[in-house]
Amino acid sequence: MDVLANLAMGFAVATQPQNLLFCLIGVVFGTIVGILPGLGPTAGIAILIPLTFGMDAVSAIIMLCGIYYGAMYGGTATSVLINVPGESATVMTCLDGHQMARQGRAGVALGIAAFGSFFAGTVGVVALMFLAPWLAEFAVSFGPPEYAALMIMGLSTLSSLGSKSTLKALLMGLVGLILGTVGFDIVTGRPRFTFGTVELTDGIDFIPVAIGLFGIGEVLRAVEKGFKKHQVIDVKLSSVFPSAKDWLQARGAILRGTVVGFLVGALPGAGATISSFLAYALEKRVSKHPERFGTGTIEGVAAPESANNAATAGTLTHLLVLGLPGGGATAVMLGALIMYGVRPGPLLFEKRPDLVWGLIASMYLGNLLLVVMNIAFIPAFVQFLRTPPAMLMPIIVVFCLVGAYSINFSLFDVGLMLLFGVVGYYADKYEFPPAPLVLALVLGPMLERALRQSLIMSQGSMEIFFARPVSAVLMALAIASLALPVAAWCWRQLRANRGRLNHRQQVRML
Amino acid sequence: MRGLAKPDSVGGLILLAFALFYLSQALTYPYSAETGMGEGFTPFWLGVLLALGALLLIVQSVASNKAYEAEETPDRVRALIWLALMVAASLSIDRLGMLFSLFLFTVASAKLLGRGWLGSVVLAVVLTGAVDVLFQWWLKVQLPAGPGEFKGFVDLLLSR
Repeated sequence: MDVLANLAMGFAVATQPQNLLFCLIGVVFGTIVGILPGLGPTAGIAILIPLTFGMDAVSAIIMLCGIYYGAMYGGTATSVLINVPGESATVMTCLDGHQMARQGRAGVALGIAAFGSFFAGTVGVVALMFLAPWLAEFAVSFGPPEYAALMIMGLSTLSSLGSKSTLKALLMGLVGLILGTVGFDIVTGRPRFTFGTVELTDGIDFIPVAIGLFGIGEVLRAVEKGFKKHQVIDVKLSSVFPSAKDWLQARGAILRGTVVGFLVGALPGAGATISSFLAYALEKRVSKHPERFGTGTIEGVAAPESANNAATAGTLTHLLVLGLPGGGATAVMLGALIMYGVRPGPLLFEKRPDLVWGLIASMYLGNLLLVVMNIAFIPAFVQFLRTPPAMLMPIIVVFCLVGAYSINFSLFDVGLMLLFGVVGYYADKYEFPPAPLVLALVLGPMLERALRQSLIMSQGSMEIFFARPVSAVLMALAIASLALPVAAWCWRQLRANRGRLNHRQQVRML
Repeated sequence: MRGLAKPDSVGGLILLAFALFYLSQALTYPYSAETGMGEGFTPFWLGVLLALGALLLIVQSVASNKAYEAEETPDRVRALIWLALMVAASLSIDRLGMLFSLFLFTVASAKLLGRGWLGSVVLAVVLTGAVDVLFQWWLKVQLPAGPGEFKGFVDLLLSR
């Protein structure tokens, strides 16, 4: 009953006119950000954070979350219509979605994706609603060692799951932690690594870093790569309603995608992209006709699309309850929450129920708005795909420049943003994932505080992290998440060597 | 791309240099204090871990044959000019004001991407107008005016 009473309170908050307006603005921006190729939710949120300055924290976070899950809907359109994923969580949708479009079924692909996303998003929010308070009650007993272990686990799982190279992701995470040490020391209050610069005494702000890495870096890469002219397939409103046969075919995929999406999203470090990959792989495995995948089967669209939307609710579970972001977008959101003076964690449910339940209720409304928008206005949104890059790129940069300046009214932040823009450009080019850097920059000071408090508690002994059951389990998971890719690499090398040896022996015998 | 046949080694070297510089600075802070860890404890270990990781990346890169896919028609010069334009716009904010700097940046960058003069100017006017309305009027963010400030220039023209 508590949950329902809280939800009712949440709806009272979410339906206030200004919150409804910011929810609408968030989902519209999110859909546009998702539609524009190359501009993902992380960049979208980072660039648009300055627009929330001066806003009340509830309205601001409702808008930022709207951008986050709105981008999942929007990304589908580019995947289906031009075979270019709007963002990484919709990569799998290209495989069957674009094939469906080429067969004249673009409307059905977009329709099933929108309905599936709505179902998965809503179920995800219901799961978040029941799971989060329970998890918060459990986490309320956490002390500094548990928090330190939790953050270490979050960073290590993001590094091992969220990128092609665990080593590169770890290195980026370490750079983020290092940047987090700049500024006043949290215990002694003396400045560190400021080199006499006043602007660095408060530390490196994460917003210019995030805007630079995700916004400017993306723009530089896009300008360098050049712009291909894509053939955009037109969609008519009448064609977006799936037939009864389509529904029957897709229902299992939507259900399985929802479950996989939420569960994978709830793992720190996994998130929407991995959940969509796993949902697609599962669907192919359970299908009676796996050979049809990749040729335009509706299950190939329904499963990943449902999964990436359910994952957003899963990711928000540990962001709100544990203060642990699962990826780049939620790391930026965590930073934004801290900036508004809100500290995510188990006590957030007690201290700011208006924010938590208002956000949860707004997600129901946001999903409803999105399904209506993505069905009724999809032909209009598709027009964004026709925006000339010569218009789009300057618009992005101008918003980045003004946004970075507006944080502290400082040109130093603008310079910092440009510097990290160059870092983001090279990072993207040579496959160094930027998300761990932002996550570590946000978590770094909190991790150092928890680490130092723990070591004060244990009088300098590291055993404290392994002596307490919860922190021991979390540390074991962190170690396992780092050890598994190494073990897998060794296994692959061993098999490759064995293969080479066998081949040589066969050649000799011949 | 021949010079960067092993870009991971270059990346590793840059990170190693950064780690060594950071370590040298970390050593200037006390490692331990009465309460336990000193200001230099975390930085020291972070520096050591980054240096070790960077070395591992260099070794891995030298040992493997990984090659990055050649991109179709990459235009590095255009990206570099764009970066230069962004830097120039940032540096001129103090002197010309935010809106006028952004106006000039928009015209130049849009032109560079193939938009005509008229289209570039129209885009710049609309965009700077939108920034003015959104940030200065709605969000009450005081953007640097500068002596050559765009709005002041327009106001001056209108007053004449």
